[in-house]
Amino acid sequence: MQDLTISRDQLTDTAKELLNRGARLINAVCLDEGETFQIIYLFQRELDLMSLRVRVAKEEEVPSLSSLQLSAVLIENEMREFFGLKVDGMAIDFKGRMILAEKSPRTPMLKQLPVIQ
Amino acid sequence: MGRVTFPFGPQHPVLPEAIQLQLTCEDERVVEVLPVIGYMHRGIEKAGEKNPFVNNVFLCERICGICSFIHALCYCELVENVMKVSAPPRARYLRVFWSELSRIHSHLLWMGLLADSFGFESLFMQSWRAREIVLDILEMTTGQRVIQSSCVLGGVRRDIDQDMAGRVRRMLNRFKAEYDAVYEVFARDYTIRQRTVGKGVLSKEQAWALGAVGPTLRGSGWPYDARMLHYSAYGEIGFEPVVENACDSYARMMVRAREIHQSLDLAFKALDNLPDTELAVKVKGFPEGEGIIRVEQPRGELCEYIKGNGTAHLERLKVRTPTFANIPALLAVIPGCELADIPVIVLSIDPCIACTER
Repeated sequence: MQDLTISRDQLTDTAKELLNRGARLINAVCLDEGETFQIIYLFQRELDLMSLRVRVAKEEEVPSLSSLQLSAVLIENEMREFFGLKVDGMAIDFKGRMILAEKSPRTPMLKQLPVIQ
Repeated sequence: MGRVTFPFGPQHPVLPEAIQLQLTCEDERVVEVLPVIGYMHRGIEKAGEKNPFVNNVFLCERICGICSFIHALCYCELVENVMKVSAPPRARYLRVFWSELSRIHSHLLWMGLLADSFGFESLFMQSWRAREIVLDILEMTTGQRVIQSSCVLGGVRRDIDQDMAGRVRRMLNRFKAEYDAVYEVFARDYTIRQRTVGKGVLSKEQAWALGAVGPTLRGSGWPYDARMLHYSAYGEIGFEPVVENACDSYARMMVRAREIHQSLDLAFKALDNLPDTELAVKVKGFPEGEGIIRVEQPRGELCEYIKGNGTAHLERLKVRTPTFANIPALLAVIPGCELADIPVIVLSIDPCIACTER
């Protein structure tokens, strides 16, 4: 499996290049690393997988890939709800209510949950 | 012309689980659709970090009640890959056998629901009657009909001896005879063709670009099935994906209908060629590092990721289920369809919402 680490600013162009070569985004995994998030975008081309790794500070935004592939919108909304990852330019924004209910804990997948007053 | 927006679900006769589609219609034609999910989220990924990694086998099995065995298999093979352990050959063949039985009963459950969705009650009954034989085999060989719990890290916990294999072959032959009659109706019946041919057309390009998987993808002409990646014993047994090219609900139904015959062949091959080895190896230590695996569930590709840190607890367990991947394709095919066709089109991706929300 090809594994590439890139910066946040390279994400859109690199993803576009992969999609133009016949790949498609199948999944993304968000990891809470304390001060940063690591996001692993998984692309499939024929039988092969390729991964793009992006590391961002928790208050930074990552660009949405939903303008390149609409199905990214569910993946990105989920990362936003579960981790509080800021995603810029999602084609459909569920406003934190795609999977979590109104009374669910906020950002439940963070290692240290925020204290709710 | 005025537009009306109304909910389809979360409780609806064709939906076995809770999901809502907000449909906007002009007369009888749907022009927009927005999904509302979130009725069944159980926090399974978070629980996967809190549990000792060994216990996650049972947690993953409970992601879905229909394809529970394949969820367990997926997690076990992923952990085994990360820990560089190989299950013994007999265990890998048994995993194929139980996976294919799971696929058969899942597809038949869906085919019964499809028949029910357009009022073909006798076909619904016959489909589920045939399915009962497969559930009986699962009960006989694993002790359980729904959550089999026979897959463990390092192998399997139950064996099939010669005597039981003989009984299983007789039951599978009886199933084949019953299923052949059901298959003929699904493949040729006038009513079924009227309700499915040309409905919910998902072009080949759309299917790929929207991330569709499983019969939804193969019904649009893509020969991709995660079993081609040769996990468990699929490499040794041999496998070719079932593909249809019509891109409509009928094509997606026929992929599943033909896959049942194929699964039956694979189950017989696995049973006939069971290697004479132990059932499991001991898995010592804790997972360290990360891994990704893709396996084929009845509804399509299941993609799992884990990251271990050398302790009993995982850093991260991520599960991307097939229905999660198929929802964008469903949303793309609905606009422009007649309202009366929506139940069949929604069912045509075989939605499993418990899986999707985890």
